Amino acid sequence: MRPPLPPELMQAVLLVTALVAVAMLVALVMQRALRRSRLRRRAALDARFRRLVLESSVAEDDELEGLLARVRSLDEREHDHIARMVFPMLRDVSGEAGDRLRAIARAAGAASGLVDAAHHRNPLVRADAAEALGVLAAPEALELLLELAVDRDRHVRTVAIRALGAFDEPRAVGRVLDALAASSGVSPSVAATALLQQGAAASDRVLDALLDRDPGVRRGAARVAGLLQVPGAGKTLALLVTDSQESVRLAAMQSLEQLPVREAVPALLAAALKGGTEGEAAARALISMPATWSSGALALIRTEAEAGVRRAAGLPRLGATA
Amino acid sequence: MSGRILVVDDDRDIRDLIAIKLESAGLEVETRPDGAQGLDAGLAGGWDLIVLDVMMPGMSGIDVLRALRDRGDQTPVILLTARGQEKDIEAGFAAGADQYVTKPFSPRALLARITAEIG
Repeated sequence: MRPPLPPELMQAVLLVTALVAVAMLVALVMQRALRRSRLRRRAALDARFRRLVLESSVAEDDELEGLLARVRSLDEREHDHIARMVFPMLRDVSGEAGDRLRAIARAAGAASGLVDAAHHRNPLVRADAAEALGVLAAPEALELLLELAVDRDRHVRTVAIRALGAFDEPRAVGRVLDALAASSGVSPSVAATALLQQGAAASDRVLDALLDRDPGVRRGAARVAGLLQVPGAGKTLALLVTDSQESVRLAAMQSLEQLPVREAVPALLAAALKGGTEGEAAARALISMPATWSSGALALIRTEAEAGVRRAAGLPRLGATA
Repeated sequence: MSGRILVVDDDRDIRDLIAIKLESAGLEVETRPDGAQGLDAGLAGGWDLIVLDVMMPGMSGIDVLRALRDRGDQTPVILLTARGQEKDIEAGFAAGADQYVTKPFSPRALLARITAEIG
């Protein structure tokens, strides 16, 4: 059996334990007090500025400038609070009220406040900054987003490319198109969605990108061309039906469903007769064309193509009767 | 324009934003922060239209709508749904919704729908 600790040592241990417990209690109380004080401060700021933000978001044009001037005149802490209030609202609000909320955030200096975050060493902070810059869609945000779109971190690049969808300036379109390249590391669907958001502003560049040397760019441009109904893209899409890359060929066939051109019929028929996934995609493109263009090709598919291709073309099984 | 509108949404910002927009158009607006309180207010009656958020903790907007219709309340209802929640839209119409608006939404467009609904 071990001998008991000397009484002096026991006392010292108890004292230390009691001191640690008291210190922890004090820290807990201080933490709670600080949290309460922070909440009180926020509630006070909320009470002062909530109405101003809400009224600005639905204000008439002639009232807006005055309300924005009031926002501009506030101090940094108040600006921070307003930006914190506005960002979550922007997730649920669009249209004129969304534009007004963005104007309020800009008046509160939110864009300049994001400059430091955009250059932060932590990629998560940079990605958050990119997202916020996209939500703000302020002219001064564009330069930062163009930088972040080529960030060393793939996640930051992805968020920045998504955010660039809110900008229809040529440089933004060009950067998003670059992101279609396989080497960008950005998901093609993210870049394609951003291009769709840029809409008509992206049309000319998408047309050029159909003939890009990078197959990732050609594939993305081919898919977006149909969804955006890019004028004049049909003939190039017809050429891409025989591209060296399967993914490009499939994207071109999908888009030809939205942008049918007669020149594509021979290549689509050849692909349909080869069968497989491409054959089925070619058949779907053919049936979306006017019957006067595709009737001959469909007659051949009926008699010579494999079953899956015939089904994709909506043709009955061989020998089936009505 | 006149009319009494009930807005039920658990998001205070959205609730107040809708209220301020509708009030600026001359409508009388009351808000409730959750489905249970929304149902109580809805059943109290006297509304020309109810705006119901679908995604609320506890009692969802569709639950509230179903409970209202079960009790014979035929007040026009506009549902606020999140983008991509087609199932909510389907369930909302099945429960008796008159219209739906998808978030992110434009308060101005919501006002236009309300105006069209209450005449």
